[in-house]
Amino acid sequence: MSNFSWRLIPWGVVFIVIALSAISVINLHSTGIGTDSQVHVTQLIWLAAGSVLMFIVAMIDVRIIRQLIPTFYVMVIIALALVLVIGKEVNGSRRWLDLGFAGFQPSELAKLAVILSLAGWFHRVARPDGYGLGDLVPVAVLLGVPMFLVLKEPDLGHTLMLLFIGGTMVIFEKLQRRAFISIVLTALLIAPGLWTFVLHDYQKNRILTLLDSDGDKLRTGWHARQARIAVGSGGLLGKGHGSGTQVAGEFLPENHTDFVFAHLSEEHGFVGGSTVLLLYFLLVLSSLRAAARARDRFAAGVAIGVGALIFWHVLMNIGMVLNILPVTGVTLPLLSYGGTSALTVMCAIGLLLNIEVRRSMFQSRLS
Amino acid sequence: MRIQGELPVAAYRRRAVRFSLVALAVCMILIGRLAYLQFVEGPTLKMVSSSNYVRTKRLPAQRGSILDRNGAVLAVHEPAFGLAFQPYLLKDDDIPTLIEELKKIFDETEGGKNNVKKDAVRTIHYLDLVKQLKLPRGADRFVPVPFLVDGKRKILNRKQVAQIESLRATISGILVDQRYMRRYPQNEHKYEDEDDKPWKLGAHLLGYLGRPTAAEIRANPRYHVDSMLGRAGLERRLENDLAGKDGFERYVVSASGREQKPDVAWVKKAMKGIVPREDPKRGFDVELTIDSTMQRILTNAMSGRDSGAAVVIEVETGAILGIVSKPTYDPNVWSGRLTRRRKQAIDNDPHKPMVDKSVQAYFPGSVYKVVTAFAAMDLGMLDPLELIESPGAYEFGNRTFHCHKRSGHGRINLARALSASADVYFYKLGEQIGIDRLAQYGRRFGFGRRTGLSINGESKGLMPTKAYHDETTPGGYQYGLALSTAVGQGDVRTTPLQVAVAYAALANGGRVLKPYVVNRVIRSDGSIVRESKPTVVDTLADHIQFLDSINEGLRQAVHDEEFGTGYLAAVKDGLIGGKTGTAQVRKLGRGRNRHVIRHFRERDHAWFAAFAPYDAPKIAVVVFIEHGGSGGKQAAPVIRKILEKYHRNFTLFAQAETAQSEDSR
Repeated sequence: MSNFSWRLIPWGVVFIVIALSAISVINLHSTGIGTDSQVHVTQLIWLAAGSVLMFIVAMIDVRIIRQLIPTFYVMVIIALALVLVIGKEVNGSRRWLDLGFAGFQPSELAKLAVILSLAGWFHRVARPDGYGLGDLVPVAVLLGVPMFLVLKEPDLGHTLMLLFIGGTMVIFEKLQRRAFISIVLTALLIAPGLWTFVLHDYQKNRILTLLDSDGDKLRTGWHARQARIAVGSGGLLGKGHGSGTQVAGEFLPENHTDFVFAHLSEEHGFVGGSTVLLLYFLLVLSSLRAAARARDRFAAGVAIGVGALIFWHVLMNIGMVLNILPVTGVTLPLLSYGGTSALTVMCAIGLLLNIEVRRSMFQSRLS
Repeated sequence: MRIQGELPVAAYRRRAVRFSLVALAVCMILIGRLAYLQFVEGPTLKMVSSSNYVRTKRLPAQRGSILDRNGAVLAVHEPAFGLAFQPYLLKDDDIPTLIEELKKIFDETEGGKNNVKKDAVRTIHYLDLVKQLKLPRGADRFVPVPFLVDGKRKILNRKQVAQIESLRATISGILVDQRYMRRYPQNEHKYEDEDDKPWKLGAHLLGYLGRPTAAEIRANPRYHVDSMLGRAGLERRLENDLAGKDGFERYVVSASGREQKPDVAWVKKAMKGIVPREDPKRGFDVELTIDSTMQRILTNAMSGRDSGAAVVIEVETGAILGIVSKPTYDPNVWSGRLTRRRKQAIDNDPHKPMVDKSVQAYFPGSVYKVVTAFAAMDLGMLDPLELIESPGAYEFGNRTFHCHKRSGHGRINLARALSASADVYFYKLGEQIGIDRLAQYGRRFGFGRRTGLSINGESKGLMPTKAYHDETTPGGYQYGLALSTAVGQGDVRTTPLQVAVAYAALANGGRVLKPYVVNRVIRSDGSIVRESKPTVVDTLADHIQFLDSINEGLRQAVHDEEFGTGYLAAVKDGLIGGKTGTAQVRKLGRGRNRHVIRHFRERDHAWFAAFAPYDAPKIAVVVFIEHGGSGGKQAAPVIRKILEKYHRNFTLFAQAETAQSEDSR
């Protein structure tokens, strides 16, 4: 803590975060035009609070963070279990804990818990020749418990997010060839079973809808189709701020959360949409660079985990909006309205900053 | 701080680069997909997007009015009020109350003492209400649902409108909506069984409106499922003038289908480049040559006759002053208010109310003899003063042709032959002239071709020729057919309107005119679109002395009390010319019709054609009574009634004569 210096902060990453936050607030402002909605103000408050959290996380000594991981992990698991019992039911699933002043989504924090716990484990258990199947049992447990609980909510999107983030981290570390092949084969074998026994009908429908979005305009296809219309009608420059008819006419559902990118593309067209995509790409690239230059396994694990978090969120969300992936309730980092999501992402980026600051300190000490 | 010596830095770098490439590829795929949606599918999706929120509402044009020559309204498109439900505003809890209230309203206002169908009306309303109040959900719930009875939009009377308006204070989701409805004020009736009242004037001429067929909607963008177009009479013929042009109004709706306020920012932007409204254009008004008073006179004069037609035209212009067909129908009912039961009754009526008899062709009988007389004189075969033996029967070949007067007429000239309607006289002329030349002269008088009034499937009539008979008559043409043709029998068929045109030609010095009924077509600002002028189709004026000879016979037919067959048409007020016709109707084959109907069908057609006044003719009048019997006994009195009433209203005859008639009254 005492060695922290503002000078060492990678300001490029901070700039991207600020840019995305600004875009988020502006974009949310337009979804609320003509209504009493103040989502952009609330989002601004969350993002501001998140930024503070981001810098705090960036400043904490990494050893303290590492020591806190088990506690944090257990607390998240408890919260996930709790949400199944006393969670607020919205649209048939329990994802929210009511804290009185605000709702809170433990599944968001589960991602941080997975990133940190896996990175901690990689840090402690090094296998220069790659991890075997036996080594991966603890990983499977660390990943499997929160996944199971999130799937129970049910929240397929976040379950997959946990799997993808964990999977990316494992693959970034070296995996024995045999272990890799076994995992892939097992996955292929249990996939049909998952389809039949685990997925709910509405989840299957969403996947089927993706294959034939015109076939079912009014029910499951509605979201995807309206998103496609919103994006497509945007053209090069978009309809202009506040002129998106898809949102104003209430055609585009979830327009300030999951489908916020559709609204952005409608009003700001290809220019707006691709700018946002490039910003995310740069953010992912920064994480990967941090992982490549990491000074220890924990730092590498965290960096790759944060990068994976951003990457998979963006891919799943925008892929859904652009009608190439099924509809899942995965948010777009920073842009989607939501406190827990904003704080989680800010926290994750705080971790990234922390690593980068520490690496610079190490390098500056060497030089 | 522990430094991990075994940290695989190189491997991390390699994997980070690979992961970056994957991330780059994914980023490019997403950007590519974004570009595809926005640039390739963009134009289509832009349209889809606007069809998401822009709705078009049709604003129906007001159909032009039809007026008589004095501006009296014969047909008008005026707002009619109906009840409609707004599903999205109607609360489920209110529905039982609403049904009760509406039942009360309809029972009170329609269950009067005079209405024998009181119970039926109540039941229909109740069941309809219960059924119709199962209203749509979803986006459709923003579209008002009209209240129907018998599948027709229920038209509210003034009292019902007031009561429903006051009901709106307590129950939301009902409204009184307004639509145009065609009304024929001179043809209205209150109850279904009063089809044949004297105030029903010229339904056939005006026609009625009906819904377009699916094919018509496809073929003509003017029509929609809700449109009404002219189905008969002038409504049909003048459709293009009367219809006007519908306008439209575009508005923006939300996903739920609710109309958005136009001043909201996104609505304004969404409507950019979209024409928001086009006002409907009212159709042209049409002023007819018809005189309502004349129509009333004709209808009254024809009362008591089951089936037939009466036509009055101006001899100088060909303008039709009055034209009626019996039995008539109510165009108000036919214009969208006809029940199936009522239609069946009309379809089964042996007097065929829907047929416009003024333009259908029938055997003319003796009214046609004027053509034979003219032809004989024009061909130089007849001197009108020559006395010709006209016995009661004429042997021709192996057939005997009888005169209606079996005792015969003796030696008579043309005037007497016409006035007494001596058949043998004309058989002899017909034998000389021949059937083909008779047909030629008939055509010159306007027979055998359409007059050009072009309504209600106007018939050409028939001028039989040798070729015609060779083709259609069993055994081909025989000379005897020329004889029957000469007296308006055989296969000669003429319409009452054609006869009127021919007699107008006799009266106006030989000008065969095109009869017309549309005086002017007028824009709503009063300017004239079109104005009719008299059209001379043919002229017989070269031999005006022949016409005079014929007219002398026509005068005697009415005013010669001893021999004239048409003396029952004689008016006290002045002189007229006229001719009776009693057309034998061929016996029809044994039909399945009831006895009464067959009896009706076997009776002769009664005709009377006249012009008046004799000295300075103004009008030609034709009365045709289908299966009415003798023209002199049945049709002539009708002519007299018409002329007397006409004189009383319009001073047909000169003043001196009028004074005389005032005394006698």
